[in-house]
Amino acid sequence: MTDSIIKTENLKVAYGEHQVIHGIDLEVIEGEVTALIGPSGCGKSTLLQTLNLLIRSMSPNATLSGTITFSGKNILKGKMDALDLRKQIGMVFQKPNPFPKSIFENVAYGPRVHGYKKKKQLQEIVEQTLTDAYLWDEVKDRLHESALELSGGQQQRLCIARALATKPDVLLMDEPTSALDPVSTQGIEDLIQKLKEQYTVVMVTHQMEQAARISDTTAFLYMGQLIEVNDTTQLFFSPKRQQTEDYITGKFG
Amino acid sequence: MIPIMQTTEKASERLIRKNKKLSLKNPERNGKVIVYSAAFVTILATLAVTIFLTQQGLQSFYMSGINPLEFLTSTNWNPSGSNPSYGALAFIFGSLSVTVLSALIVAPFGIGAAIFMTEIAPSWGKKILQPVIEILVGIPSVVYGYLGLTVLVPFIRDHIGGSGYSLMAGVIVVSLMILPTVTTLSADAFNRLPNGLRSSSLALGATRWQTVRRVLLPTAMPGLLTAIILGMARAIGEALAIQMVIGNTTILPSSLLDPAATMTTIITLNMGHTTFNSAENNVLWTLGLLLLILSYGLVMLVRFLAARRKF
Repeated sequence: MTDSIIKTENLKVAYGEHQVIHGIDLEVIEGEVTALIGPSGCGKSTLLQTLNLLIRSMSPNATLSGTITFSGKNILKGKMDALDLRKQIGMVFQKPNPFPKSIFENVAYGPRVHGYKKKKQLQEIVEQTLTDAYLWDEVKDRLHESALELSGGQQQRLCIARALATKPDVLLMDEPTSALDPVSTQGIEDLIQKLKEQYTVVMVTHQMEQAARISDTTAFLYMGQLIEVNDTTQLFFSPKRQQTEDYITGKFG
Repeated sequence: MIPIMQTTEKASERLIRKNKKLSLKNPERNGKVIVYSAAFVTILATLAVTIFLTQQGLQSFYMSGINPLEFLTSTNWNPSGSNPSYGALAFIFGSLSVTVLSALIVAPFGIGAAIFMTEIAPSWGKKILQPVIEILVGIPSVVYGYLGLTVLVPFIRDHIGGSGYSLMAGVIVVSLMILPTVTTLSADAFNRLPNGLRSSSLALGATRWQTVRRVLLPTAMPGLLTAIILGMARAIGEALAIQMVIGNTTILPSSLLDPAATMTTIITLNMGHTTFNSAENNVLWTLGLLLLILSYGLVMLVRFLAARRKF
C-alpha cells in the first residue's frame, strides 16, 4: 500500500453563502502526479488553493470545514502556521508570473523570506533549483538580468524553480501550461515527469490529454464533488461512473 | 395643432424607417467631426496659453530691461520703489520649498494609506477610507486656507514659535491638500499590479508585509513616483490657501517658522494693482512663465516614469 501525503476528508469550501466544494475525500499518493480534471467552475482550482491554505489569504470570505491531513496533522484545525505549510507545499500558477526582479532574485525569494541570508547558500540553492527545473544552462550567464525578458515557457520554468527553492514536498500546479505554446507545453510536461522523482505533484488541467499523458492518478470533479478518482489509465479506459465517461468522451464540459 | 403620428402604422415599421434615416446621415463622419474638433480645441488652448505666457513673460527682459540673472538670483524685490529691483529668488525658493517639503511629508502617509486600502484591509479600506479621501479632494482650497488661518496659525504661534504665519503653516496646509491626490493615485498604482504577484509571493510562504515590501512596493514604484509628482504639480500651482497662512513677506526665510512667499502668492497679491505692460506687471508674467516651465518639467518626469512602468 502506497502512502498518502495529503488526505482530505469531507472537505467543504464556501465563498460567503456560495458553497463550491461539497465534501471531498481525496488522497494524494506520495511521489505521484495527481491530475484534477473537470469542467470550468467544478471547484478544482479552489480545491488546489485550499491545500496550501492560499485561499485564506486571497479570499477572506472563504470558509473551510472538514479535514486536510498533511504530514500527520490536520492543517485546517487550530492555528496552523500557513507560512511554514507553504514552504512545504509549493505552488505554480496558470499564467507565468515571475516577479519583476532578476532571475537570481526570483529563485532566491522563497529562501530569503524564510530567513536565508548568506550569499553563498543562496547561490547554491539557485543553481541547484534552476538545474532541477532544466533552466540552468539557458540562464546561467544572465542570472542578474530581468526575469521578464525570458520567453513564456522559460518564465514558467522559472516559476517552477522559484517554487522548488523552498525545498517543498508537494508542488501544486494550477493549469501550468494553459498560457503556453505547444513547444513550451511539451517542455513543462517533460519537466513534471522528471520532478516526480523528487516531489509529489498535484495539477489542475483543462486538457484531458495532458492528464492522460503525465499523471498517475486522475480525479474527476463535477459541481464541487469528487465523482471518481482512479489510476489514470483505469479512469480513462474504463471509467466506473457514467458522468466520468460522458466528460472524457466529450458529451459535456 | 400638433401633428400626431399615424396610429395605423405599426411600431416595428416606424422603427425600421427611423433606422434608415440614421444610417443615411453617415454617423461615422459626424463622430469624427466631434472628436477631431474636441482635440483641436484642446491643443489650441494649450498652445495659446503657452505662446501668450511666453511672450508676456519675456517682455520683462527685452522691454522693461530687467536682467534675467538678477531676476533669478537676487532676493531684492522692490518693483514699485524709486530705484526698482526685481529679484524673485525668495519666491522661487518659497515655491520650491513648499512643493518639495510637502511632497516629502505626504509621500509616506499617502503611500501608507494606499497600502492599507489595497493590501491590508481592502473591504474596510474601500468602505471607509475611499469616501473620506474623495470628500477631502472636494473641499475647496479656500476652506483649507481658512482652517489653516484659524487653527494652524494660532497653534504654531502658541506652541512652536514665531508669528504663526510661516513657511511651516504653508507646507502643512498644502500637504493636507495634496494628501488625497497622492493617496488615490498610489492606490491606483497598487490596484494595477497583477494579482499573480500577490498570490505567488504568499504561496511561497511570504507574509503579507514581506509581499508588500519586497514585491509590490518595488514593482509599483514608478506609479508611486508619478502619484507624488502629480501631487507636487498641484502643490506648486496652489495659491489661495498658501497665501492665507504663509505671511507673504518678500524676504528669503531663514527657518521654517519665518514668513515667506511663493511665486503664486506674489502673482495673486500684486496683479490687481499693477498696470498692464508696466515693468511691475511684466515681471509677474515672468513668474507665471516660470511656473509653467516647472509644471511642464514635472509632466515630462511623469511621462518618463510612465514609460518605465512594467504593469
